Amino acid sequence: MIPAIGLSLGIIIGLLLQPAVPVWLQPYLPIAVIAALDAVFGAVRAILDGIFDDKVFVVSFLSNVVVAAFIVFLGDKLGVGSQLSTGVVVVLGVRIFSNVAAIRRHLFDA
Amino acid sequence: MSAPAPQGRRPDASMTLLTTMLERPLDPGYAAAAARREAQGGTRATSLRSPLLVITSVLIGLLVGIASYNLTTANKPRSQARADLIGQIQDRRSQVDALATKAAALQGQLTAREAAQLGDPTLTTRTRELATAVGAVPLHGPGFTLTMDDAPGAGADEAAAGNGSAQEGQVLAKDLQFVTNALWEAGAEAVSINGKRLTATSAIRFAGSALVVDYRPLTRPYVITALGDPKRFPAKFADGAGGTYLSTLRSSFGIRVDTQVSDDLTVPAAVGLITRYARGGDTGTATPSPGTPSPSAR
Repeated sequence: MIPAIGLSLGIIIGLLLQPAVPVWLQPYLPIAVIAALDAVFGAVRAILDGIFDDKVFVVSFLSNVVVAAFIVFLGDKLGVGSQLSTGVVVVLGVRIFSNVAAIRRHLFDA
Repeated sequence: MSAPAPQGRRPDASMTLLTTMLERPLDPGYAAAAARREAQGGTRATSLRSPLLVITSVLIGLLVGIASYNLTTANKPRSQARADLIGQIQDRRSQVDALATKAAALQGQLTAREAAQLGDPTLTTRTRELATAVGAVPLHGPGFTLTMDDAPGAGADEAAAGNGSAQEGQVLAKDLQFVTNALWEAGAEAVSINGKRLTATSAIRFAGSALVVDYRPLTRPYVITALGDPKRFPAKFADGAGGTYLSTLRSSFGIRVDTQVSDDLTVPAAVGLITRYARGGDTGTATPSPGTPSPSAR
């Protein structure tokens, strides 16, 4: 409950403040959001499984975002930016789907 | 399938990349941390109220909020700038049109005063003849209109049009140039394209994907009005190089060409005629002196 409140609080603050992101940082925003989503769904599944650890959650979130941004950056430098980011998005999307499926099984026994 | 799999290996061992991705999405760190905590005698899961967790969730919320704001409103300033620019272009264009009408009106006044000033009838006639030949006065009389348009379906490829490359079936600048030259050759006394009078210094060019006459762009279809002797001019044009060129365009590229002979057509006066002087250089000097530009055909 408290983390959910914190999450919505963060979203509201972000939408109210409306900070302008510098242009060189803008390509990394979508991939950072997907990486964060993956960490969040993994945490929810861990909570439902009963083995949640906040340190693991924080580390997984930070490392996800950093690694995803680094891969996008590396891809841009190497010239395969779109392919690498497609790969990252595919993997993160698959993880998100499996975590959501597990959560669904926990919540609805379905 | 040939040899049996070696002991202890799954048959799909070569697909470990995909299987680990699909079967173990939850970070193994959670299980390991839970096992470690159990071994130390604490609870399997940490409390959901730890400050670290709250801070991290606020951070994630901020990230999502900032990203959604930045990614959704990124287009607004761009489209607004575009609308601004379009408005400016239209403003300037209407200004230019107004100035052109004013210039034509002033030109008319000038001609009237010139005639009044000169007094000598032969000089007036001479001035008038020259003005007619040069294109400084509007004319009307018999002639024919030539309407040229791209082949149907040409220009539908947006990508090629954006590159500025001409496609088959599009009317090119050189087509208009050739046709205009053929009209002059066949005996045209005045030629105008889409309401723009051609003079001896008119330029028909290609800029991007638009045809440009004297720096004003043309829109399709291209209507060429030519005045000339009703008995000989249309026939001479059709039989000469112009007619052959047009029929080749029609048959080979599908460019639509329409001719219509008429008894009374008008061509407007040329706008923006300036006077240039030519002075013969001294014999032996090759460089033209500055301030005396020689008249050129372009």
